[in-house]
Order: sequence, then C-alpha cells, then structure tokens
Amino acid sequence: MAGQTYRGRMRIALMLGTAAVIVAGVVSSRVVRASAPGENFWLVYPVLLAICALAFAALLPWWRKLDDMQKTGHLSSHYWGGMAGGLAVMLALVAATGRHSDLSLGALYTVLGQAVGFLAFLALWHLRRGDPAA
Amino acid sequence: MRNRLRELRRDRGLSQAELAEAIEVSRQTIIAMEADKYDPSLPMAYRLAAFFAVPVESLFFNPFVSPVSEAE
Repeated sequence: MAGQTYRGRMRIALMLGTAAVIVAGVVSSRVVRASAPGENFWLVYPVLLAICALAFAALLPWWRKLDDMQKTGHLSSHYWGGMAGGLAVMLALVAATGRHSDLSLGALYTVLGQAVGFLAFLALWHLRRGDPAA
Repeated sequence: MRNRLRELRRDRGLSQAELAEAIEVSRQTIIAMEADKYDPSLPMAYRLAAFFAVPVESLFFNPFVSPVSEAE
C-alpha cells in the first residue's frame, strides 16, 4: 500500500494538504462574497484567519515528514524566491499605476505584512533557542 | 562533505531509492549527499551511520582534519 512507504506517506500528506488549501481558498472566497467589502469586518476577518490557520495546520503533517535537505530547499526558496517575486510584482505595480494607487498600496501592505511576520518568527526562533543560563 | 555513502550503499546492494526509503528521506537527498552537494544534519549523519553500523566519522570525513593529523 502507498501509505506504508515513506514516499507514499509523503504523497498522501501532500495531497491532503493541497486539498485543504484548495478547500480553504473556495470557502474563503464564499465568506468574502457573503458581505459587502468592509462590512462585518470583525466577523469576516477572524473567520478568514481561522480558515488560513486550518489550511496551515493541514500542511503540518507534510512539513514534518520532509527531511532536512527538503526543508532547507523550501525555506531558502521561500525566503529568496518569495521575497524577490513579491518585490518584483510590487515594483511593477508601482511603475505601472503610481505610488498611491490601490494596487500599489495593496502590494505594499502585503510586503509589510510579510516583513512583520518574518521578524516576529525570527524573534520567536531566537527566543526558543536562547541560552537559559545567559 | 566527502563521504563513503555510495560505496556502503553499493556494498549492501541497495539502490538510492531503497536507501532513501529505509532512512525515510527523499531520493534527491541521497543523490545530493553522494554527489557531495549537500552536507547532512548531525541527526541525519548519525542515522545513516547507525543504518550502516559504522562510526559516523568513517562515513563522513571531517573536512577540518587533514589525513596526516588523522593518521597520527
């Protein structure tokens, strides 16, 4: 059976994670469309965050099964590739639509969110590996 | 890091896929380690050494120790 081998278990974990992400995308889209933009923000936003959290949780079994070379590959690609890709799109939007367009500001907020998330995770990473005797 | 992974694997008559399956890593990881393109973490190095029942230093060569000082 596929699930009895490491490769099979990886494949199943990845398929389940991917399916969860797709379902999360569909459900999120329905939640957003259920009310007018800005309306019920404090209801819609937490629900969207919860859906995101569930999608992340569904990918955890796959992530934990990755060996350290695969993890290094994903982390390095996400850091350099993700940042470069995001910045390239943001700069293209700024060049095409101006600094203050909705598109440029949206892209800027996304990049800012990424930077804040990155710094928060980095701080947590350092705290968890700190010397308790120091 | 230079290593004897390929040699030990072949001695056991294992393919890269079989070794990968046995120690629960991807085949690409075995290929990269054999080609000296990826240095494994300590846990993975010890896992491989345990699998082949050899000391870790006879599987992965310490790049900071010269063969001369090792012989001494």
